[in-house]
Amino acid sequence: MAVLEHVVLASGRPFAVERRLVERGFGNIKRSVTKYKQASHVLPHVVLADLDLADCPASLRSAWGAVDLPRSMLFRVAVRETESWLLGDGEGFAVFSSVPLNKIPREPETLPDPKQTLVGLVRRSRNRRLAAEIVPRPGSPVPIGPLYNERLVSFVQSQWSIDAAAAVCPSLQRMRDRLTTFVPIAS
Amino acid sequence: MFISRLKLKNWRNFKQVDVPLRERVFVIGPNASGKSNLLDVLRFLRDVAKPKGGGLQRAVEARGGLTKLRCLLARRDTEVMVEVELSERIDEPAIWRYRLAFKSEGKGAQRVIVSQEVVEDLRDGGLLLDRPDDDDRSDQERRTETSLEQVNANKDFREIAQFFSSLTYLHLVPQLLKHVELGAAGQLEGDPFGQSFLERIAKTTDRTRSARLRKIESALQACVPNMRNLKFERDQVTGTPHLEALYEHWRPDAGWQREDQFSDGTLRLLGIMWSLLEGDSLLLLEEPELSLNEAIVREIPALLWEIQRKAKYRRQVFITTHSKALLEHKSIDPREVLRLELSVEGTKVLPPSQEDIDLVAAGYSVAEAMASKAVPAVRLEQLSLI
Repeated sequence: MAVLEHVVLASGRPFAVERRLVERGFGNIKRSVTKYKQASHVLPHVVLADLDLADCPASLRSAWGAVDLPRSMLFRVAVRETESWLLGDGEGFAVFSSVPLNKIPREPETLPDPKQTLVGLVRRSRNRRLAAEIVPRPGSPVPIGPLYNERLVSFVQSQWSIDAAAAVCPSLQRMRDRLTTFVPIAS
Repeated sequence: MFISRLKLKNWRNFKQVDVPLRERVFVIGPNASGKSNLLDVLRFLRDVAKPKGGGLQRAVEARGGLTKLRCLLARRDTEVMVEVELSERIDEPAIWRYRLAFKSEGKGAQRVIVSQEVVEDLRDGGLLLDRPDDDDRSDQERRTETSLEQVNANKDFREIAQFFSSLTYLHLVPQLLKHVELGAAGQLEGDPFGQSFLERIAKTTDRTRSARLRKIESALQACVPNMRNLKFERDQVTGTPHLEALYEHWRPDAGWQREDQFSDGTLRLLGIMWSLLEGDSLLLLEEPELSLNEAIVREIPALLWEIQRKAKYRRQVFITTHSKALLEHKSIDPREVLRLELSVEGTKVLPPSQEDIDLVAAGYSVAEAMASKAVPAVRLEQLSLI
């Protein structure tokens, strides 16, 4: 949500975020696509989903029924996860995580599991405290540490450069392009 | 009868409130936004109107005096005002309007005095009471009591007094029922925490009691499927009232359990359902979702409706809740929800906006359309990355 809001507000367009809905899990978004289409006539919608393991954004969109969208709705897909976009700002992320810049992947959208890559990078961070917050304890079956979301949200809000990230993340660049021409008409 | 409109001025953390109400009212809002204070205004009317030990002075005193009760934001106008409209049926015009305003005497003992008390019969437009009147002006003493609390003075509108005095507030604390020794220190007036729940059951006649328990048992089936034969028993030796139920078990005869063995959630549900069946006036419920499994919380609105239908009188219900699961029930009309929002000018009580109503019509649940606005200013949901 923090990323989505940041991208929308940094679009240079006079958009304001009226409501935020965190669906927690792609299943909920998939189930609600028709609802978003309907409701976007009341209030324009911008939906962001992770591609995860699906083949490509286009096939995900058709599989989820996110086609023939009303003009008041945008449906964008992050390849493969929003975490790729965060890693896209390599310099910013290096400063934030105290990880050498040359360790950070140059083309984050090609990563099979960006979340795992991100956690793996922070695991070797010189900032032990941050590592303990973002990385799960050894042997833990969960993928993230206790303050994963909180720390990354503060990174997004204070340091993350969209310009830098969009230069290496095509799906983010496409989302920005679409936002520049997005003329939501609520009927 | 039910309350179809509520107006407040300077009540606790509410500076101004004016909202329409329906037969079910869900009150949502962040922590410490005043959900309980909003319910308290209705308990206050009960405390003023109730025949035993009621009255304006005691009701104010029980709340720590006027200074605790009055909104801190009240500057020049320090009067506290409560106004309700009562309707017979939903979507029909109101039949009664009752307004009570009071303030400090401003001198001497600083007693609380009635600054306005107005009763209107809206069916024929008659103004039945309009205080302060000439008598009040000549005798200041009279203004320390409301007409509502006096049987001699409320003859023409006793219906209102009875309605207020019979409303119930329930925030049943299962531990107090299970560990009676905890309640030994005494009970609060009106028994808000359900300590005398068993006594209340004991006092009903046998027929009514078993009819109600049957209704409750059948409604409870969905939530506690292995519970059977809910019944009332008195301890043979001590005469203490008990609830018993048979828990189905592989052994044919095992499994009679008493209320102190029921789960917290079962006891709370029992208390809520009994209260719905019991009275005919307003019922105030605090967070009915506590100690309940989310799957059951999701069914609370349906359960309430079911029990409301089985009851002799359909009670109006006020429910405070933090539970998204409860509000996800598709039957909840956005007009049944009041959202509390903090502002520098005190808490605002917001009925749904047209946008909220349209979003629900487009397929959003009330939880998504309205509760997403009820999160605190730090925006907890922003803590999510995407």
